[in-house]
Amino acid sequence: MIPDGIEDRYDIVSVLRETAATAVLLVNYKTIGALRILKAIHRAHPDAFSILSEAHLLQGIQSSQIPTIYSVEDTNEMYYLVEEFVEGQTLREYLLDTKLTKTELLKLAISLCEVVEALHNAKDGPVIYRDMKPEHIILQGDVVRLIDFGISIRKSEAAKARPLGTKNWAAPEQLNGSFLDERCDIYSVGKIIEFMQNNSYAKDDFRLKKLVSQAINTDVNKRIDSITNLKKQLCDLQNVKLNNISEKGNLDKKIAVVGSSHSAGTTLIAINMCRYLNKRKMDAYYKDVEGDTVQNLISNLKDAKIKEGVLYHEYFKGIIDYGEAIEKYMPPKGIQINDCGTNLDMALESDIVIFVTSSAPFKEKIIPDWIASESVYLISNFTSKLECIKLSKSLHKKVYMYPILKSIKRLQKEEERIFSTILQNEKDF
Amino acid sequence: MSTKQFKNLKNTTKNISFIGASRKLGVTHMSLCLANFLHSALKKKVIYIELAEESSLLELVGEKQIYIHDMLAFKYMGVTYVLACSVEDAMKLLNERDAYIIVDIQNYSGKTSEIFNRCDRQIVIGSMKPWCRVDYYNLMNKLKGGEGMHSGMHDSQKYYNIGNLKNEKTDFMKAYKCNIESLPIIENPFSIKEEDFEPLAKMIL
Repeated sequence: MIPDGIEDRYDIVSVLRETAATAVLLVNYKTIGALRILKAIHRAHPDAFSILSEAHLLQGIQSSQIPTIYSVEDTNEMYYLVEEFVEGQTLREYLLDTKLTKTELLKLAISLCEVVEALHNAKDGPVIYRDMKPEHIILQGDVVRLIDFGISIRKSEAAKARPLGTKNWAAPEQLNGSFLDERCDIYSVGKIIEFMQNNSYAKDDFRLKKLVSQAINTDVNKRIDSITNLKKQLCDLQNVKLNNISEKGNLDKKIAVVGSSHSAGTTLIAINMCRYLNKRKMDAYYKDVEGDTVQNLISNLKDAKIKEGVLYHEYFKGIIDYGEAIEKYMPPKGIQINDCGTNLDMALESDIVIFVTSSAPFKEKIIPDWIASESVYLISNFTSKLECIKLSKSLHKKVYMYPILKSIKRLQKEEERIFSTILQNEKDF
Repeated sequence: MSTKQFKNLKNTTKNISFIGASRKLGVTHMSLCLANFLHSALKKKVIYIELAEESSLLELVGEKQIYIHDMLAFKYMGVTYVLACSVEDAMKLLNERDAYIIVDIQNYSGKTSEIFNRCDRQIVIGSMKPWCRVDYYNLMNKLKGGEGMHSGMHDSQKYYNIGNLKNEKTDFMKAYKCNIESLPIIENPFSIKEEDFEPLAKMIL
């Protein structure tokens, strides 16, 4: 239903949506010749006041990423709202023929977080957007703009809000009418990032996957708690990427060695990798993330030395995990090799992951879905060539077969060859 | 710092008792240092027993309350503290041998001497300064077998002197035919430095 009496000021360019009681029009504002969006609703419609509330909600939000409201007016029959026409492609349209690079993806995700952050920090109280989907995200270069605030609410009114939203994009608590707060938008932002990742070259990036899984956790208490926090973690990922190609080189890189099951041999592989790198004059430090390996080495190694929280023995350098009652020492600068045992989450915080499996049939193996990622290398320990080939075929990934060691005192040539091949793929090494 | 001495740390030296020849010699300070060293540097499970009628540590370590075998204890920086512990309770804990036990003995008496001697390593701290020497000699006499004492001097006992004067060491050696060492100076038992590890490890070697 198109409102009467607007013709003197607006030319209707196109009708974007029309029902018996509502209309969304693209209009030309005659006075200055600018395109605008006009949303109209009949006074008798049960949601008639939504237009007023939308205008009211967007007032006082300091962001150029949301449309400007020009006026809210009424005729005898209808209320109507005139707002800025946001030009550009929607995210869905853009991704139909474009594959994002990781850099682009992170820029867009951070920009999306910024607009949601502005809503959540609105000066009259947090605004919950509730309608995040690719059709509502308009791209203008690296900046995203958000449109359609029809079902947005103030947090203070969330308790009496009707359960509205789009299936697959809205948080479960939003659709089933449970308690709502800002975290429902974090879920939707997570879904958008996931959507972008699936249409990007960073499809297998395990760090991004981990972040998405934290953002879209169906348990609201386990979800990332604020949009600022999500933005910070995205910025960290962006910085990791920048640092990787900057002059920092391999300094401060983290390599995680993690096993598919207990006794897969992660400790020995991590220690020997550390010895290998130090032998090649790259400062590498072993760290046992969960156990007391370095403490045990203190009392078992002959001719070792301790200095400022590091145990030195021939080519081995191990970071000692002192308790609270020992003076704190600055962690040394260099490559950190984290022995993560079987803690997969811990491994995801690293730049490179060495995933170790063993072939013992009585052990339950956990192969994470991020195994396909480029920076994850697969080593099969205590195994035969045939089993390596089988594993490689089933995972569609190169498998390095770790040699059976005759002595742990010296690095074997075969071990050195594996480490060297793995690190050749990483340009900073 | 070399890790040579850590190689000789024996798992059999698990119960260590501390006693002072007189008050305010730093017995509690040194007991805390060793307890924190064993836990924070070597990651050992440590129980600290304060064998005294009243606790002087409650205010410091008493924030987190726990129970070990129905006994009220406190956890602080990883070490379990049993404060104002009775001889009977201390004996129970010593018999368990599933953790390193540090016993800080406030008074050496007939009753507490049993606990002192029950430990694998006994540390005696005193001052050989001329005006304090008599206290050290009195305690040594008690250790040698005073009336009502479960005593005797053993290889498991180590003697420490506040100070580093050669003549004080010689006098002690002449009197008791055994060595006395200088007590290490450790500023803060809750912020131990790596250079403090060696003298602390020596205590239990």
